[in-house]
Amino acid sequence: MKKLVFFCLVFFLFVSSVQAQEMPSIEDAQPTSTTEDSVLKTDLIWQKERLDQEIAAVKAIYQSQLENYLYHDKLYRIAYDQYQQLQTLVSIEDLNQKGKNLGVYRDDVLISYLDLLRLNLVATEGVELSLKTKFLTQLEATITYIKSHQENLKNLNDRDQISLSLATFTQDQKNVGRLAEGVLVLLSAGNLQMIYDKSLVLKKDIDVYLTEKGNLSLPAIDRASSETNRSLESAKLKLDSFWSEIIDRAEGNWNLANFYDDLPRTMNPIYVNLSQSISYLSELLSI
Amino acid sequence: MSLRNENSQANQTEFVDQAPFLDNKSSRIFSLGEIKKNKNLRPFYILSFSFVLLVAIFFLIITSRKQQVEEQVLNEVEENSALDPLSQRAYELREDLKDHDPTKQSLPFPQVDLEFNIN
Repeated sequence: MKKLVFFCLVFFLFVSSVQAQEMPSIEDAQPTSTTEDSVLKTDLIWQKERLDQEIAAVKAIYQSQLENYLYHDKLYRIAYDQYQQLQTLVSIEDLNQKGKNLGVYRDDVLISYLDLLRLNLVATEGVELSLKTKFLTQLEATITYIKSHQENLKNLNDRDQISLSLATFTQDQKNVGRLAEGVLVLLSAGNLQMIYDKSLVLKKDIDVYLTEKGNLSLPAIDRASSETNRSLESAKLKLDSFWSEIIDRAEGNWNLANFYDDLPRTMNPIYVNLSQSISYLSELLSI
Repeated sequence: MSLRNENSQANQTEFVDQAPFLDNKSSRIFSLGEIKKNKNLRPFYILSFSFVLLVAIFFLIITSRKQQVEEQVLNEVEENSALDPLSQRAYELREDLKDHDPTKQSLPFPQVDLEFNIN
């Protein structure tokens, strides 16, 4: 009797292991297009991850360079005050050195900051392509100029030449702040556009999910879905209006930077609309 | 008033003053020795066994309730597993939106002096 029970147990164990081995063969029969799509998505995800890593690395460098600049700025101010009071050869030489060093460190900070803006602009998907290309070109040209200025300044020793180099920089780059503001306007609008685009895709996926469950035809869910669509449509209209205004005004120089001071007031309605749409999407999932 | 054992009154050689004031018995609440003297221990065994049984049943009830709660939580997690990818995306969108609040500037222009010179 015991042997019979033992034999039955072994037999059933053997049968169950054979069935488990058969399962993977069914799952292997997948269409090849899904594999290609997943490879493409993997590449995009990898590129985005690499960009995010690069942005994080440049941001860390920028912050340390900014701290270094602020420290040398204090040394420069002290040297300048001493030069003003003492007017000795030592104070003049000290001011030359501190001024030259400060110019080099300022260039470091500006190069890192503009590179950070450039990387963020590349990574932001919602920016209109012609504007993105225009501002990327301007950023790269400015970075090249500042690098060249920095290399030149490092090699100067004469007081008059150092002074001339610093004055030339002041003249040539007086609008670098405006360039940065224009890029920041683009980044702000582009990020909200990207969030809207993802919300739209999520809404479609939620509709598919609710249809499969058989819930989309229910009156309450249908009304909720329509309300969500209305909210998303409202956000789209505001975004489209903003982009058309930006494109019109970007024809002139630095007009895009004029949006910067008013950015919170201009973008806030779009932000509030998107916030409402995302809340509706979360509620749809929990109904 | 002190209680005097009736047996002590049979001791004729001891005077009242010399007799112990109080009965010199053990004042402990529970004395195993006293119990062992009693030959009928069956009620004691039954009571102690019943007490142990009640404590064991009590612990079993508590542990079974905890298992029921854990099973309920597991069932809820399984029910929500189908929604997780969509809910996760909605959550990530909400977090992305918070990161890009237009009233907060994450990359302001650095505080550098563009006009300083050594003259």
